[in-house]
Amino acid sequence: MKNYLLKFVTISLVFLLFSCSEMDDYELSETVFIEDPYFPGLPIYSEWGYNSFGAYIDRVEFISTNHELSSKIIIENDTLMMIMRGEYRNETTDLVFYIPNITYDTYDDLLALDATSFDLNNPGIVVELKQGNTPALKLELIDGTFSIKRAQYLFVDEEPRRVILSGVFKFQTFLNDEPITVSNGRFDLGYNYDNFYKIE
Amino acid sequence: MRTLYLVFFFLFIFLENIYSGNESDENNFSSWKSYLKVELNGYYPNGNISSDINIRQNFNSLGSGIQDNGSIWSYANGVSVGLQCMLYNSNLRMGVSSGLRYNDYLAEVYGSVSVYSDYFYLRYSELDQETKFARVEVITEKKEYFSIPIEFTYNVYNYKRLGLWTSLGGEVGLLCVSHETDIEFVESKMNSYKSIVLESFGSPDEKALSNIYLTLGGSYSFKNGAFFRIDAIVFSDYICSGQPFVIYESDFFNGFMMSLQFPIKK
Repeated sequence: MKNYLLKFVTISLVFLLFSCSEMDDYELSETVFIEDPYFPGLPIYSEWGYNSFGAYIDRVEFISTNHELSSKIIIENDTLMMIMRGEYRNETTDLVFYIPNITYDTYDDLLALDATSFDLNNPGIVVELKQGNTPALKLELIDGTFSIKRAQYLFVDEEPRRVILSGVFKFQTFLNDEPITVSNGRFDLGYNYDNFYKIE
Repeated sequence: MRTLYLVFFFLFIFLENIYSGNESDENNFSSWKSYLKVELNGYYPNGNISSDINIRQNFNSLGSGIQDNGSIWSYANGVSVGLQCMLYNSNLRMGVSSGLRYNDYLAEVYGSVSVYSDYFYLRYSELDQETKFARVEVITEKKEYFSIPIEFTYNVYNYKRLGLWTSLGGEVGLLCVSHETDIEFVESKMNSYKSIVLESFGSPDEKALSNIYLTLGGSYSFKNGAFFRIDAIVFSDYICSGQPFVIYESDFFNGFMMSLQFPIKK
């Protein structure tokens, strides 16, 4: 009986110590999926920090999930690496964009990406696809664009919490020697200390 | 348009009945009796959260299989008390009444972003490179106003002391006593931003509601000539322009109307 009481008190204390701000940081990092009625299976295009993304790979959805961290940004060797982790054909899949000549120190600096567009055929830009346990595949691009329509701060109760990047992408490439199209790509992703890395 | 057809149809029946009654019995017009009607009504506006309230979560899951466990609820209800004078002709089995009503409405939006919390995120500001959310527990809206009701009543059927009635009524908004919105934040420091947050989804107007409704109900008559009546609102429509509430969008309402009607002795 004493043990049960002790366990109950401990759990209660842990719950109480799990402060409000930590709680809402966790909530803000969750994926909110609101389906696009015009593109079934994909999340709507939003600028709310829903931590969601999606695209059709030919006609199959590649979308963010709630059990994987949707995105990370790593700055290394003057290159920004943006990882989108989701599900494609029931397998955990990473789509990674490498954008050169970006040297940000903190996630606040991501605001500079507001209204920025990249031609994916530009030299130095690399796109990789990693499906399941297979090695990452560097994609040979035919054509494509990657646009960040909006970069903004997300405030909660007047406190800055994270930077949101919202935008669209599409490209044509080869997969298993067959040309494919990644279309209607959209993302609405939040970044803070938890998923932004500056590697010297 | 449907409302107009209904009004004309009911008025046609009403006038046609009086006219035919006049031809068959000249005493019909001398058999009008006056009643004092004390009423208590309950209203349930049918609708949903206003689309001007920007809530950050999936409160309308489309069955994607990927969803949070949060929920958002909204409701509105109202109560009114009134005093009316009714003229009723027992030969024609028809009556008309009018008076004054005091209406008190409450609408609320509340919810949680997850099963572990009792608040939701409300977006109240969206500038070029800033989106601001407040953690909100509940948004409330209260509206109090006076109106003038006008009702045409028809006694469909009587059996001993029981009666079956139908009424076509409407109320004209007279005077808005108060109409205000309020919000409860998780963080008390947000109270200093309350007016900014409330303005983000619109300001309450000073309009009293006008509407039209059709009821169907029953009555029980007492020995002294008074009777108790209870009706269900089976059709309704707001005839004012725009939405009756700021936080809750509604096109019609359900509800009930209870009244005690006492004969006025001359």
